[in-house]
Amino acid sequence: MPSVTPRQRIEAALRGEKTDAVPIFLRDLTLGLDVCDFTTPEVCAGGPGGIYHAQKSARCVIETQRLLGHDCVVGSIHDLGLDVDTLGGRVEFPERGIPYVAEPAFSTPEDIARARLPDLHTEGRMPGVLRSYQLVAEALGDRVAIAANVEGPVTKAGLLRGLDSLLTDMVRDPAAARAAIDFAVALACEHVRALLDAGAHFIFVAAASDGPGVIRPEQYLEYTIPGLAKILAAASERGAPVVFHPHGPFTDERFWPLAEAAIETGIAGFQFGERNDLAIAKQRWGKRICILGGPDIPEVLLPGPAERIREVTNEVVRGAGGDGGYVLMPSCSIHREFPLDHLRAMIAAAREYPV
Amino acid sequence: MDIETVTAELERAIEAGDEEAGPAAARALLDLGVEPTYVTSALSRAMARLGRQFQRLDVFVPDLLVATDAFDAAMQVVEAALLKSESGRKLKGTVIVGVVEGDIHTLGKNLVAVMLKADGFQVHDLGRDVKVARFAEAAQEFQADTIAMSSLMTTTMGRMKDVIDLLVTQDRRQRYRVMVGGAPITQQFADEIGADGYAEDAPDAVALANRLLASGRAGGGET
Ligand code: B12
Repeated sequence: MPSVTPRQRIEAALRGEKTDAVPIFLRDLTLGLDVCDFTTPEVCAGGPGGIYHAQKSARCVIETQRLLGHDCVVGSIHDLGLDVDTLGGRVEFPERGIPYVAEPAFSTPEDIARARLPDLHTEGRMPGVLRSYQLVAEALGDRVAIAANVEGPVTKAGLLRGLDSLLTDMVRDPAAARAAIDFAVALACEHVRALLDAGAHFIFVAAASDGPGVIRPEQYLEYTIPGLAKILAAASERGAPVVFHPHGPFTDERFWPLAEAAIETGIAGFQFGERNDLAIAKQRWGKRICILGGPDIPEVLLPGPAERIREVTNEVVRGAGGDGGYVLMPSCSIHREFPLDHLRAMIAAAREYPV
Repeated sequence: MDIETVTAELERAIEAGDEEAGPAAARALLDLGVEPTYVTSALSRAMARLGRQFQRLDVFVPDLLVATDAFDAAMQVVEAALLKSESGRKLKGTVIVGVVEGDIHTLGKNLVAVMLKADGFQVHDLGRDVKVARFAEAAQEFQADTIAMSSLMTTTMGRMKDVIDLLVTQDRRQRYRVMVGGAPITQQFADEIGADGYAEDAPDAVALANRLLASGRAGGGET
C-alpha cells in the first residue's frame, strides 16, 4: 500500500473518508514554547522592542510535530490577544504562562463605532504570525496538514469587548452587541484570507464562548450562525474547508438543533468539546460531516494517569472513529505545562487502534 | 395589591433581569409593611432558583448577568431599611471573590459570587486576573472573613497557594476561611495548599461557605 501522509489522512477524514490510521490533531497553541524552552514573551511579544518572533514560533510548531508525530498543526504559537493589543487593549505575556487579555480593546460601545479593521500584513503582531505560517508551510506543508486557528463570532467579540459586557449588551443594548460581533466577524474573515494565503490548508473556528455553556440558544442562532456562514464564505473563496468548535453539550438532545444549524452552513467538520457523547455525534451527523473530538482535558488528559487516558481514547475512537470521517483531538486546545506523557499516551492508543 | 402578588412580581422581575420592576417591587413590599428580611429572602429565592436552572442549562449566562444587576438594584432599596430595622439583616459574613492572576475565566466566579450574595453573604467581587498581593490587601480593606479564589487553568492554580503562603508570612492566615474552586481544582489540591475547603459548583460553594461558617474554623476576620 502506498504510504499515506499525515496531511492526506486529515484531508481524507475531512471528506468523510476512511484512511490508514486514526488522524490526530492536538491543536497545541502554546505547548511548543515548552518543547523549545522559550519564554512566552520571547516568542509572542517578540522580545524587547519586537512584535512577534516568527522564526521561533515556527520552530516551536515544527519541533513539537517532530517530537509527537501528530498529523495536523496550527501554523504558529497562538494567543487570544492577537488583535486586542493592536486595537488598543492590553495583553499580558507571563514569562512561562499563557498570554491573556488584561484589558479588552473596546471599553464602550462608542469605541466599536470608531474602530477600523487593522491591516494584518502591517499592523501589530499578525505580520509575525503570518510569517510563522509561511515558514511552517515551507517546512511541513507538503506532508503535514496546517490548520488556521480563527476565533468564532461571540468568542472573538467577547475578547475585544470583554465577555461580561458583550453578554449584558446582548440583553440591554442589542445594537451594541451586534456592532461588536459584526466587527469581530469581519476581522475573523480577514484572518481567514490572510492565513490561507500564508499557507494554511483549512480553517479551524475556535469558539469557546459560542454555545449553550455561555449564550442562549436563540443568541447562538442570531449571532453565531450568521457569523459562521460569513467565515465559511471567506474560506470558500479560497476553496478551504472549515471546522467549527463551539463549547457546550451539543449531543444533549435539547441542543441538537444548534449543531444542525451549524452543519447546514456547510462546515466540513464539527469538534465537540467537553460533556459530549461522540458516539451519538457520529451516529447522528457522521454521514454529513467529519466528527472531531476526544478525551476531556480537565477530567482525563490533565490528571491522567496514562492507563486511563489509553482506555478513554480507545473508547472514544471505538464509538466515533471506526469507519473514518473522524479526527482524534483533545476536548480543546493544548498549552504550556501540559504533561507530554499524557499526550503520548493518547497518541499511542490511537496509533495502535486497528482501522 | 397584596403582599403575595407583589412578592411574585418581585421574584419574576429578578429572574427576568428587570432593573426597574425589581427595585420597584421591593419598595412596594416595604411600603406594605413587611420586614426587610422578608424581601431579601424573596430575592435569594429568585436567585437560587435561577442558579439551579443554570446548572441544568435551562437558562444561560446572559440571564444570570442581568438578573444579578436587578438583584443588586433591589438590594439597594432594601439595604437602607435593613440598617434601620430591628432584626437587622443577619449578614453571614464578608467574602472576597476573585479569579487568580493570569486567568481571565470569569463565568464560574460570577456564578459563585451571585449565589453567595443571594444566600446572605456580603460579597466583594475583585474580578479576574487578581494579583496575589491584592487578595491579601482586599481581605483587609473589606474586613473579609472568607477568601474565595477561582482558577480554571492548571497553569494558574498555583497562585492560590501563593495567596495562602503570603497570608501565612504575614501572620494573618488564621483570620480567614479560604475556599477554592474551578475546573482543575480538586479536594486533594485544596488540602495540599492548605485551603479550608473546595466545592465543585456554585450551590456546593454556598453549602461549603455555610459549613465553614458553622464550624467556626478560622475566619475571625480582621481584628
Ligand atoms: C468559556 C471558556 C473560555 C472563555 C472564557 C470567557 C470568560 N470570560 O470566562 C475564553 C474564550 C475567554 C477562554 C480563554 C482561554 N481558555 Co478557556 N475555557 C472555557 C471553557 C470552555 C468553559 C469555562 C466556563 O466558563 N465554564 C462554565 C462555568 C460556569 O463553570 P466553571 O468555570 O467551571 O465554574 C464552576 C465550578 O468550577 C465552580 N467554581 C468556579 N470557581 C470557583 C471558586 C470557588 C471558591 C468555588 C468554591 C467554586 C468555584 O463553580 C462554578 C459554577 O458552578 C473551559 C472548559 C472547561 N471544561 O472548563 C475552557 C478552559 C478552562 N480554557 C482553557 C484555556 C487553555 C484557555 C486559554 C489559555 C486558551 C487560549 N487559546 O489562549 C484562554 C485563557 C487565557 C488566560 N490566560 O486566561 C483550558 C484550561 C486548560 C488547563 N491547562 O487547565 C480549558 C479547560 C479548555 C482546554 N483548552 O482544555 N476560555
